[in-house]
Parts: sequence; C-alpha cells; structure tokens
Amino acid sequence: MGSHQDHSEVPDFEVWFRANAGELLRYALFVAPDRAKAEDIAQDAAVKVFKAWASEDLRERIITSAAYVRRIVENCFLDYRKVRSRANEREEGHEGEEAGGVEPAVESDLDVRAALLRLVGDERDMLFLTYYQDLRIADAGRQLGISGTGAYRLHERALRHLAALLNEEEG
Amino acid sequence: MGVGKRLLEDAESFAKEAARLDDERFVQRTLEVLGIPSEQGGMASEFPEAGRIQRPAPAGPAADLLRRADN
Repeated sequence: MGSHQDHSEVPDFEVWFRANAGELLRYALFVAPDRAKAEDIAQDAAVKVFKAWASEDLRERIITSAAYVRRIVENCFLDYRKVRSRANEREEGHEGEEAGGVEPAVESDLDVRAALLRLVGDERDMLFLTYYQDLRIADAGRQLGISGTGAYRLHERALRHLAALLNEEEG
Repeated sequence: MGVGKRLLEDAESFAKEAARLDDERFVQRTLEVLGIPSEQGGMASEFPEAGRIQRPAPAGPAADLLRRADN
C-alpha cells in the first residue's frame, strides 16, 4: 500500500455507521440500562466518531477495533453521568436517586452492571462479548486480539475480579 | 447466587431490552443531527422541500458538540 491515500479510497463514515449503529446502540444500552438514555449516549458517541473520521490514524482504530469504539461509548456515558449529577445537585427532591443514577426500563442487575463498569477494559469486553453478545470465549478472544489459552485466562480473571467487586459492594 | 448465574440472568434482561431498540430510527436521527442526507428515505424524503437550513434542530448533548466544532 502506497503512502499517498487516494481520497476515493477513504472509507465512508455513513457506510461504517450504518453497519455498526446497532452495536453502538446495544453497547450504550449495556452501560446505561435505559433505552432513551442509551440513544442519547450512542448518538454522542457517533458524533465523536464522525469528528474523528478525518484523522487517518483514528479512523483506522475505529474501523479495526470494536473495543476502541466501546471505550468511546463508555466515555460518553461518563460525561452524561457528570452532567446529570450536576443537574441533580441543582434540583431538589432526588434523594432517592443515586448521583448520576439512571432508572432501568427493565429489571437489570444494576450491581452487576456497575461492577462490570469498574473492571478494566479488556476484562469488561470479555464478559460483555461472552455473556451479552453470546460469543464463545475463543471467538471473543479473537475479536480482542488474544489467542488460545490467553482468552480463557482473561475470562477467568474477569469473573474473579467481578465476583470480588460484587462481594465488596454487598459487604 | 454465583457471579456466572447473575451474569446470565442480567444478559437475558439485556437481550429483551435490546430487542426493543429501533436501530433504523437511531440511524436516521443521528444522520440528521450530523447533517448527512439520508439515502434511504426517512424524514429527509418526507420533507423534500426542507433544505439544510430547515432540517430539524439537533437534539441532545450531541448538538452542543457539533455547535462547538462549528465555532
């Protein structure tokens, strides 16, 4: 591949977006278990990807790494929570709602979700891919760029760390 | 309850909720916010006389990001 990039070969953002919008939205729902909020967060993430698209390096990472895009969604969720937390501080009468908390539309296990968000990225990715995307451990490992026994070790480590976090939360 | 079981149960709830997501609506709304004309109809084709200036105002926090980028 030559160093000069023909503009006609630049991948189209809309093509990427249409192909990946579902995954973007689903991951936003995973981090913020509420459909309306998930749409806002996913939209923010899409805007960030759109703005990054002009950079060849960032575009390459976005196209080749689903994990990188998941990190973008997580950062949008954290930004969303900060804004909401500040808004809650200004409003009274939200004592029953945790700072930056969201009310899930269905009975999500918020403890599990909160603990998952406290894991390091690759551990969270492994559990998300295997439990929430129903991938086999080996296939999840391949997506994460981890081969063979490394994927199983990551899966085991992730479960161990998650269990520790849940025990910590439940005292 | 073991952590694996909790994950499985939460994943089941997640799957039910995810099935109710409207991907196409999300795509159309986001493309509108980004000012990208829709190739597949949706709101853009329902209002053919609407030009860029008249497109629906961007909604949500994304709008702030775009406005800051434009300034």
